[in-house]
Amino acid sequence: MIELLGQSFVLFATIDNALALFVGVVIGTVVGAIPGMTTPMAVALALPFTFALPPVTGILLLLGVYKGGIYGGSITAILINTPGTPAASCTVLDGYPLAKKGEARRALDIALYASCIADFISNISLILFAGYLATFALKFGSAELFTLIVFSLTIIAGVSGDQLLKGFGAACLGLLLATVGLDLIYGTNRFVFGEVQLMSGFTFIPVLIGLFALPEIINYFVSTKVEAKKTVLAGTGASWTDLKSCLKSILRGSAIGVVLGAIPGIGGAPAAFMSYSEARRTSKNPEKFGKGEIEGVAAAEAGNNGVAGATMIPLLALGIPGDVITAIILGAFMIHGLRPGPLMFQENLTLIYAIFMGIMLSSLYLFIVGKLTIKAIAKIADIPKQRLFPIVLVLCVFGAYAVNNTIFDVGVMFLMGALGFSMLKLSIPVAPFLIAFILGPLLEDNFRQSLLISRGSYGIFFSSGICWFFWGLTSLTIGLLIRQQVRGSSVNNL
Amino acid sequence: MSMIRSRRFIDVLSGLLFIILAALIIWVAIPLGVQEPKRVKFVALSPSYYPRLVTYCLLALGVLLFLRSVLFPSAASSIQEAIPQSPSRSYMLLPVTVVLFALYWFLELLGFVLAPAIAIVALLLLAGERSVPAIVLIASLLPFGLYLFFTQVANIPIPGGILDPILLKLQAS
Repeated sequence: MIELLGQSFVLFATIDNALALFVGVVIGTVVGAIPGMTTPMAVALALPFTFALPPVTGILLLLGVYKGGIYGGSITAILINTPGTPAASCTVLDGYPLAKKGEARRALDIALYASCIADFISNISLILFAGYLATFALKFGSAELFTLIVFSLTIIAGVSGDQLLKGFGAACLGLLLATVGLDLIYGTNRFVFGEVQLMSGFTFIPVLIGLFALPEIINYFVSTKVEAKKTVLAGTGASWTDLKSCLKSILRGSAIGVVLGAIPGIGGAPAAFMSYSEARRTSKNPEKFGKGEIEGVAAAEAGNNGVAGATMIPLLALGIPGDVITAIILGAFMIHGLRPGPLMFQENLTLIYAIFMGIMLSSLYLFIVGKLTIKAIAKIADIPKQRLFPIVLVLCVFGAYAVNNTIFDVGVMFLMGALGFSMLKLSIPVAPFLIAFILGPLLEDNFRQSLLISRGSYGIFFSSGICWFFWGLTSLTIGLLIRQQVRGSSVNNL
Repeated sequence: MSMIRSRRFIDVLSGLLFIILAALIIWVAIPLGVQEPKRVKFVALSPSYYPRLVTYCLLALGVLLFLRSVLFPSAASSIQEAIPQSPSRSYMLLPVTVVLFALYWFLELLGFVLAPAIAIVALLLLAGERSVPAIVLIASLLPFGLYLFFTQVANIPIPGGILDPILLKLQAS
């Protein structure tokens, strides 16, 4: 074990890794702080820049962007009442009133402390639980994996918001797109229509960039410009007493974030709101919440940052993404020739430990970046959108091309951009499409492999306790969702 | 002035879109685009089985969405409920599409430095940027900087198009 840790440390302890992680945190924080730019978009755009990097360095850079992005979202939430990311929408409730009172600096400091502590706790939970889960998952055969992926697809519900039917429809489209190329068993063409480039299927990155970045760019041009508020950093920083008074909420919020983060599909925003409502419920001054209560900022930030490390548990242990960003990171692993899941814990344990070491360092980097560069980042967040979006477009073009060095992929990106924009206009969520596109080959592969083993009998999908367990979870999730929808519509009718 | 768009209309449209797409896939794309082997061990192993299964799900979802929006508009989205939209400048869609299409079309010929530079200028002007130094700086430095990064740091060959001779000379020096 010690030898293994030593090897992992050697793999991790390079200047390149330390620098990549730092750069990732800075990029993530900056992008998270720019309203209109999303963390998935930042991870998608950073991905092509990792091609030339070793796997650990590339993955750490992307993880840095992810973690920085979650924290960065709180900066504009506090300063200009505009959450940079959906997860930061709860931070607005007390962050902005504090900024209006001239205590922006104090709110930002507490947001940073809460983010770092929650991130650290979340990372520890990842290290502690991912291995156990992976060992358990080694018992899975193709039928068990199929049922697990079916259950994972219910995470689509979590990213579909109130558009459940449309979300599942988008997921079907993503699954269909993933079938393009050579058939896995017979090697015959599927939806290739004579285009040689399509024989290996659609490449992940052009699809990703097209769906997440291009629609935002086009939408910027067709929407009326809204004059952006300027960020103002006022007041003095948070005191030790502030931190002490918020510590309980931070720890509770971190725990909520970890639990909700480990369940695929829930994400940062519900964790933040649950943590916030718990802090308010247990507070001696609940009436102050929503009017500039520092504990409210701490609870919200602890909740949404507690999710960051925990969403990596199902990703690393089972190869199942917990949300959109981890779905993108799953794609990044695959591009670097790695397949997250139980087998990775057997074959690439050194690499996993090296990533764990980097993840631990990310909490420290988050603190450094938040403390030292907050003024600069707040200024960068003021970058005019009219300059930002044309820049992003060029990044998209280079990123799409760099995967396979083919202009065909740039065309795919533009096509996906048009599709993404149409989906945006029809209120069809894009995230289910992407998640299904990523999980699609795995789902089909295990589905057909199981049927091959059972000689065409569907009984194989109900042949073990694990299968029944996942069917049970899937039914439970769908049942709860239907109940939620019915309740929602009853409320609408009132 | 804020534009109000009926969410029900969008739901009906989405449902119809799913149905039409599913119908096209089942009756056109699968028969024409999926090559079936001469012999298949079980029907479920056929290359068209899984796409067909997924498409039937899409069809069912489309029908559900359509019916829900038409028959029970209040079940998910009330007809009175409207999505407040920021006033749109939809007339901008055409010039932006033209710029993006031209960028793709001329990418191979003009290369990854010149074509994006021209596209940046066009998009900056469309976005309302009027500072000439900013336009010149962004349009010249960004594509060139990215070109240098990918060719020199990441070792990914990026086509320079008609600027290839100049760019190669610059790299050599």
